[in-house]
Amino acid sequence: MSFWQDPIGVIGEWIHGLLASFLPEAWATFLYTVVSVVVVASFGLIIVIFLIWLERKVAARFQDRLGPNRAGPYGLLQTFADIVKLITKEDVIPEKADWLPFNIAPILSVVAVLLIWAVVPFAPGWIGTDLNVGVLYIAAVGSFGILSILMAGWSSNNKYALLGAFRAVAQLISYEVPMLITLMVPVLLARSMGLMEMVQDQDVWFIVLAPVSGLIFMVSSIAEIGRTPFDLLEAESEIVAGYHTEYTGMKFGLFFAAEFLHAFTVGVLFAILFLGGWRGPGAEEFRVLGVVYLMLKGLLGYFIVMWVRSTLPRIRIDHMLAFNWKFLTPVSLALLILTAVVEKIFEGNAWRIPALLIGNAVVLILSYLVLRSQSRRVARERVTFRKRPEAKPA
Amino acid sequence: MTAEQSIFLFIGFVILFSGYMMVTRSNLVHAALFLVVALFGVAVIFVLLDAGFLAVVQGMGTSVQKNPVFLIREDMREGPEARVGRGLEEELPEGSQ
Repeated sequence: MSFWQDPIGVIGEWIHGLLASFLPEAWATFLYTVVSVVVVASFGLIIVIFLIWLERKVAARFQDRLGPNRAGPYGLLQTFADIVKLITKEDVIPEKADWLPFNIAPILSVVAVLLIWAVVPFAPGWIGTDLNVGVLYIAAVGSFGILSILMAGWSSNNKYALLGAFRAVAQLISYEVPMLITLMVPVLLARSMGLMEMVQDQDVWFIVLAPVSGLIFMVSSIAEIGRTPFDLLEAESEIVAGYHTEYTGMKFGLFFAAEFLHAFTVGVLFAILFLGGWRGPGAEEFRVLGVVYLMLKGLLGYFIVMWVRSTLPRIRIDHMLAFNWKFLTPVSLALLILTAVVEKIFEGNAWRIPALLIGNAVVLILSYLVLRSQSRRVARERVTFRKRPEAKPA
Repeated sequence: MTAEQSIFLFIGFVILFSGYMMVTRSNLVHAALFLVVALFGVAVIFVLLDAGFLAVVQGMGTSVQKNPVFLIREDMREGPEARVGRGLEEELPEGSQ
């Protein structure tokens, strides 16, 4: 395979050969693995710098502003200025904070997101580890983010931070349920839990076969990263800044970076599971093209996240939980059963795609009808007194 | 000693240490966090044994198990305050309330 078709493979082999020339084979492989991990992790962290700039620009456009435009061309250097500012800030640790969890939590929040990138298939053959339980791995690693939020909230010794952490328990663990159930739908369609096989199986993108599942995955992922309209764990009008109230400087910066990277990671996961991953014209031949396709599709998912964020207001906590348990979870369960049955009946049949589409449409229409009947019932109930009690001097 | 053996040794010590710390801490949240470290170490051992599925399930269990601890309010108090509500109030030292 020539350099232009597989540049990273060629460079990797060269580095491995270089290490093996003066080290025993096992240690050379070990060091080579460490180098690869550092490269993938740095890729994730460097892309955050660009993502923050992009988010500020796009959010500004949604709000009819210009966004950062002073530092560098199109304000590209603004994020670097912010990083320098964050690093030079004083690092304040509350006197009664629990020192070790307090300092580990921001690191863990970044690591939890970076771990997902270990199983992301960038291009044919370019994958950290081709785990055959990749989907399960994503679910397992994702919950370490919750652990970091809990550690931050609890160790800060601040009531608002603890409240934010409690909300995180309620929200993130609830929304993991529909997310995991919808993750099973691509698994059923691809008959594999490995992400690489899943991408290779998408001759027809899974968003075509399971559009409603894709939508539910997107919604529950937005809740999972804790962004508007689901940003109750850091609702500033109620609980200051939530779990990162007590954090200053670069520690806050790490939480911030983790949130942005998680949003983009969700976009990339959406691209892998539903939009065909690296697939595209010429991606099998030139692997760099596969990375470009994956990043473009991931940015599309990220754009949807930004779009929702700058359009919708924050929802109330009981509405949020009711939406999850009474709507998303039943619908995703129905979709899972439907996909399993239809896949078995129309196995290897030309009617497979239309049947799946019709099934999805039926579920969508049914859930819409149920929702409409519910909303009418709620509208008729009076929640306040018809005549408001007047305040009169006695 | 190969790379794998040295990782195994290191992780083994981490598991033993955090297991010991887990059962000796009086602060329940600290105990839960050490439990997470110990179980995560076991997951790493599974990875070393090329048992990917077990490792991932272990990792999931790790992160799920600590959650109930954060839902029990009484157990998150520290010091003399922690005795309140457990039938241990009379043992409180003088003037601590």
